[in-house]
Parts: sequence; C-alpha cells; structure tokens
Amino acid sequence: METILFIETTKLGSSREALKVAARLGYRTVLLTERRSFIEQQDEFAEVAQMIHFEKLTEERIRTTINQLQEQGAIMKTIISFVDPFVSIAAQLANEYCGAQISVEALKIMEDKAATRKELKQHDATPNFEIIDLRDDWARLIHNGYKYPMIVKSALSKASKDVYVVENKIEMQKILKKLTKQDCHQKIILEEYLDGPQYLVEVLVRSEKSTIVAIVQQDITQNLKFIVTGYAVKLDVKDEFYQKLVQAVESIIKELKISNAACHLECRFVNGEWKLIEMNPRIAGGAMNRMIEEAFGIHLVGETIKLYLGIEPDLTRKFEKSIYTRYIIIGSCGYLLKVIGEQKAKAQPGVKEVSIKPGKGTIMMPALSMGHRYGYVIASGDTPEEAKTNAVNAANHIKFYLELL
Amino acid sequence: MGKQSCICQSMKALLKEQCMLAEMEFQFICVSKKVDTIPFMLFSAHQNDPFKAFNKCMATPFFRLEKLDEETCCAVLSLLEAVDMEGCPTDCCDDLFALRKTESCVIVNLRCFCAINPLPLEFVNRPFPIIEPKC
Repeated sequence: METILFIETTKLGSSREALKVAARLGYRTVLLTERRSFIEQQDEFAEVAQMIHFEKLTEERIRTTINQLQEQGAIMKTIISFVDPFVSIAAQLANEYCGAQISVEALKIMEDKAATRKELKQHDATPNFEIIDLRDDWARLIHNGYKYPMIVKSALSKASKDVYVVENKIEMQKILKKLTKQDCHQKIILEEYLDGPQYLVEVLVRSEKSTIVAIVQQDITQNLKFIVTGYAVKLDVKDEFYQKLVQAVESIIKELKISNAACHLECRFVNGEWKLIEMNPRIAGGAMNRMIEEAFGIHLVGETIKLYLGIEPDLTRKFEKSIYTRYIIIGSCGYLLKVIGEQKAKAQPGVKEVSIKPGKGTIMMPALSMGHRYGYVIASGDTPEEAKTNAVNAANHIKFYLELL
Repeated sequence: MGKQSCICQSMKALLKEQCMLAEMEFQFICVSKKVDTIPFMLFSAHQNDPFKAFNKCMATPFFRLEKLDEETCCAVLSLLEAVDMEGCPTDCCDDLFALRKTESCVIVNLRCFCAINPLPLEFVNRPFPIIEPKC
C-alpha cells in the first residue's frame, strides 16, 4: 500500500495535521516517534496506521525501519518530518528512497542556527553576531566590551528554549555557565538585540520559485523570555514595508540555494531595514497551518506533502479573511485542577477554533518557552482589528484553576 | 466488645491523634499550615448514606470531633462545610474541594453508628486555587 512515513509529531498543531491530511489523501501513514506517551495513546491517533517507538531516533534505525516496511510490502511514497531536528534527515531519505528533490543541504543549514548565520554572513538582513565555543575561555570573551542588551542562544534552540536576552556582563556569565552545564560542546550565538515589530513569513519553494504563502505579524510578550502570544495574518501586503520584507526573504532563499522546500522566517523591522531573527526548515508549529487555512483556504501542510510527493502544490488563495490567533500564557505555577470557559470561548463571535493543551493534573508554569503556551483561540473578523478583538475576548473566557505546588 | 463501644473507642483514638496533630511542634521543620482537624463521616447500620446535620440551609456529612464523653459515649461534633473550587457551599461529592470549619455543633450518641470514615487532612482549610490568566 502507498505509504507516507512521518518522523515524529506533536500531539496538536501543524505536524499532527500533516498526519491527518495524509490519511485523508488515502495514504497509509506510519509514524516513528520518540514519545512513549503516544504509543500509550494510540487510540487517539486514529489517522496513524502504524506507530513505531524508538527511545532515540537515529538515521540508522530509521533506515532499518524503512527497509523492513518495504519488505513487508509498503510502497514508500515519501518520508517527511515537520518536527526539529528531523526535517533534513527525512528529506534526505525522501530523496534517496522516493526520488524526491528536496533541498536537503539548505534544510540542514536552517536546522543549525549557527550555520544559518555563517551562510548568510554577508547578507544585509543578518544582524551582528559571533559564534562562540563554550570550551573556550568565555570568561575572557565576555570582557570583550559587548554592547548590552544582547541575545544569547544555543545553535540548536527551538521554540524559544535557550534563547536569552542578557542585560549585562553578570547575566551573560550566568547564562553561559548554565549553557555550559547543559552541554559544553554546543555552539552559542551571541548577537545584537534588535528592537522592532516582528513578522513571520511562510514560504514554499518549488523549482527555485518561491511563493510567500503568508505574512504574519507576531505580538511578543517579554517576561522571563520572548514568547509570541499573538499572530495576525496580514492581507494587504502591497505597500513598500511588506515589499521590502518580501525582497529580503526572497534574497535569503536565493542565497541559501533553496530549490524545493518549505520554510518560515522570522524577521524584525529595525531602523528601516528587515533583519533575520531566525529561520526554520518547515512550517511554524502550533496553530499556523489552521490560521493560513482560515485566512486563505490554503492547507500549507498538505501542500508541503504534495511538494515531497513531487506533485505541484496549489498555493492559490481561495479567499482572504482577517485572522488573529491569541495564545494563552499564565503567571503562576501549579497543578491544573480544571479548565473553564472552552465552550463559552467557542461560542463567541468570529471564533474558528479553540484549543486547550493541558489536561487535569498537568503542572503548569509561566512561559519559559513556546511550549508553555497552554492554549489558543483563532478568530476572524471583518477587519484585522475586529479579528484581534474577537480572539482576545474569547480567550479571556478561558480560565485555568491551579493548586499551588 | 460490641459495635457501639468499638466506635466509641475509635473516636477516642481519633481525638487523641487530633490533639497530637494540633500540639505538634518541631525544631527543624517549618510547617506552613497548622493542622488540628481530622475530618470524618459517620455511618449507621441502617442507612447507606452517611449521617448528616444541618448547617444554615445545607446538610453536611463532614464533622470534626470536639468533645467525647466516654461514660455516655456521647460526642460533640462541629460541622464542617463542604465548598467547591469557587468557595461556594456544595452538597455534591464530585464538587468537594475543601472543608471549612463552622461554629455549628451537634451532640450525637455514638452507639447509633457503626462506621467512621476519616478523610484526608488536606481538605480542611485547603487554599483555593489560583485562577489564571489573571486578566
């Protein structure tokens, strides 16, 4: 049977939707996962025909599994992942086993933030940066006369984990010490702190032709970390502000020699210039796929699967609707006793989707990474402002009851 | 030993442990919440439901032992009010979140009961949950 092999997923969000759309398209879906809990919850993954668990997903194990599946009669149509750090390895195997033509080298560069910075070193959108080795004498490095605040991040950080804004030498020392304890072999990027509005750009490249699928403005909450708590899909992107963004994105795509791939870039507008904060070799996680679907009628995850299958993706906008997504974060730590307001939120005007992540008994805490966002509301409106008001109002109905730890 | 005196003996033990809890003091342990109540329910031989007494307009099956007369096997019980997560009085077991002490008391003859069901100490004056997000 025609099979699509997925390497890892999250329970909710873009990667999970990929599994669902593949099953809807009539493919047999096989999921390789490191998450033991998914094996225990297999009943909740109705779209997955076969789930295989590995404590650690390695290329060798994945290859062995592909061979075994083929011996059992599976016709491997493609191999795909929407989860870091498996995107490039999945693409490489899709090229090898299924004849796909995905730009693996570019995906590998995007998976490694240090490599991305190095590759785009000469590009105007690249901020001032320095890559340091934690095994070096960084105590000496931090006396280099840096201009604070600065951003310190691990080259392999994802979902805002291990990304810090440091205000002074003492904080820098503290963070570098912490990162050294985690893994002294990891590469660390120090870069200038850029202040300005942040946008996320979803791109799909097919035969070297890049299509900007969506431009999404991000609302960022900065407490302990930078957490994106709001996403507004932009409809009218004809003016110079957006055209400069599109130009910057297209030139980055060109410089990385991307021929066939899906990716997203996060850029900030600073002093009249677009600067690249980071880029990732896949659609953004969480509600992004649903937002684009509600805004333009494009199922980007589905179209990415088509790209991997060698089919022409359809990125035509079926309609244009103002969409805003509000993410919910909290300010206290505790055990979740109950959640109220989900149904009330769903009944509010313009609400398209309400998603609550944690179940009873989950330990919840203030957001230290994007993974500590506990739910979202997607809403539409006649105007962008109305969409935002609808999403925020609906999200306000959702309340988490926490017992102090 | 008959059933009635058995309950009386149990209540005597409960009162002793409750006093120990209330008087417990430590040199090295910091106890944030003083515990002085072992909440319980009482059951008679003839009814499936626990014994209840009225506090304001609502019947409660939850009690604290205040005094015990071993001679007569009579006990003074104070009523504990069941509240839900919002702090509202409830008579639904599924909604029980905490037990609050009240001034209301009832005198019972323990010979009328055959079983005692102690409850976790944590129920008494359990702090209400934090509701997030705050705004």
